[in-house]
Amino acid sequence: MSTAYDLVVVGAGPAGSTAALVAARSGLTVALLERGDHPGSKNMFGGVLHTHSLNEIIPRFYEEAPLERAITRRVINLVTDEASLALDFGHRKLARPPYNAFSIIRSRFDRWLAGKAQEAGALLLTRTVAQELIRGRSGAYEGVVLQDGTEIHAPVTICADGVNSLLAKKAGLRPPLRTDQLALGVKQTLALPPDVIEDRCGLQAGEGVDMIYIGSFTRGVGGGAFVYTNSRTLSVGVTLNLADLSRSRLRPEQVLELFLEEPRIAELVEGAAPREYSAHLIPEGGAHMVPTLAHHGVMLAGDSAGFVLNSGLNLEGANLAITSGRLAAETAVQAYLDGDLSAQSLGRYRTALEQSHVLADLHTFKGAHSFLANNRIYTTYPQTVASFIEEVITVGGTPKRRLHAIALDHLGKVGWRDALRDLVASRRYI
Amino acid sequence: MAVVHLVSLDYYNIDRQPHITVNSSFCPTCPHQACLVTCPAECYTKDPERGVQFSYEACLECGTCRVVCDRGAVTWDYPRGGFGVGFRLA
Repeated sequence: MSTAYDLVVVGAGPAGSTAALVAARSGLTVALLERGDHPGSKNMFGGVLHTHSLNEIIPRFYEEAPLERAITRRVINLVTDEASLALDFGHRKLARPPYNAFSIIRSRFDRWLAGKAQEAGALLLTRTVAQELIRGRSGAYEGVVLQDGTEIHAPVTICADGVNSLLAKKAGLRPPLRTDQLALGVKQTLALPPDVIEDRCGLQAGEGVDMIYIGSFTRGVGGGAFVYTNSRTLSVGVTLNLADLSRSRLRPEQVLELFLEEPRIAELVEGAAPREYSAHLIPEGGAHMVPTLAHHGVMLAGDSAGFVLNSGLNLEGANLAITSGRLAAETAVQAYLDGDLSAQSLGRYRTALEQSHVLADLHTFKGAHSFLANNRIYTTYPQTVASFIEEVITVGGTPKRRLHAIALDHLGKVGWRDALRDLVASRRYI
Repeated sequence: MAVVHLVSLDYYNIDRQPHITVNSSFCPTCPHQACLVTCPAECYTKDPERGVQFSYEACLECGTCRVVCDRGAVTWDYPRGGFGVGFRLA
């Protein structure tokens, strides 16, 4: 086995496989390392891939990729102990190319995407764990050492090794992760026949829904829950701020259980067979946790760079991973053309990210993380909205009030000072 | 569903050597022992003598313990290539 390449990419997730694909297409020799049995076998996420980023690289990828359901509806639910309120949005456009999002199963999808990198000429090495970056005497990074001591040399390394990115951590490229900047996601995958999924969720054949839930079932822990429809399974999970969770002394699977016991969810999953249980950390610090992205001979992409956008109502990661993988590869290709692999040359990666949705969106929503740490969002406001609607729609034979009088009354119960402060903050941050 | 039933749904190729080691001498004096409540696979359990008992077999490789332990008790690595949990439906 040759152990010298133009580019070594660590991690065959969406960021790494995209980087390997783009670089190999441009003629670089690429080694793509994956620690699992096959790409995707170690990977977990909530469930939805937004199409735009991959469609730029593989036009009409949705005609060949292993996808579950086109997401044609999005439902945002507020839940209190006794009430629930849903905002249900559907649009026929979402059911047509180029679509907006698909539910996917990573074990299948990531394997397919890594296969595209292989077809373009990248060498995929599975069951291969990169232990450390090699640093040359000049200070430049020169490849990686594998767990068995084998060295793989390359003038450029792209670390796409996920949220825990031990490579970046050991090399001191990234500060330690903080519990307040992470969410723990835990998920059950539950099997149901496709027609039952469609019946219960009100879906056309082959179409899917993305449902998120905010409310009292997290017992004040920052975060929420989701249900995504796959072809033959439902992905049901919770994402919980890790600092809040530690303090709450609640266990993550207990919060998921509380969610599954919500009457609406219990109906949805009735008779479904649990098939898999998985967990993953989500970097939610946004722009505040983005490390230095490029050094001499190395760039960070995807979760390892903290590229997840949580704007409150949208949680995006895979599309940021794909765009960052593409931009890292394009930067490497350009650096080879220029014959300049210095930190300054690879530093153009950051500029490219700033001009793309990745850092532009993280910058726009840089205040979202601290705004979402406010626990009134998970307890008080769902309650306030529910009691407002309850008074509006309940017919009780007593004299009615006008909408604004009811609204003012209920907001007054929150406390004017807090309500105003949160309203102003919501304008600024989300 | 209890964690023991949840992780029994998952596919593992368990290595003989653990990928995470815990120096539990730090644990009895740890004020929060957050590993006990946050590990989604319940790899950390309360031990009357050592404070915390750790077993690696059911690990989901999420990294939570690595972050919540601020005592320096957890030495965290990935399992050797091909070992550990393997997701099929995540």
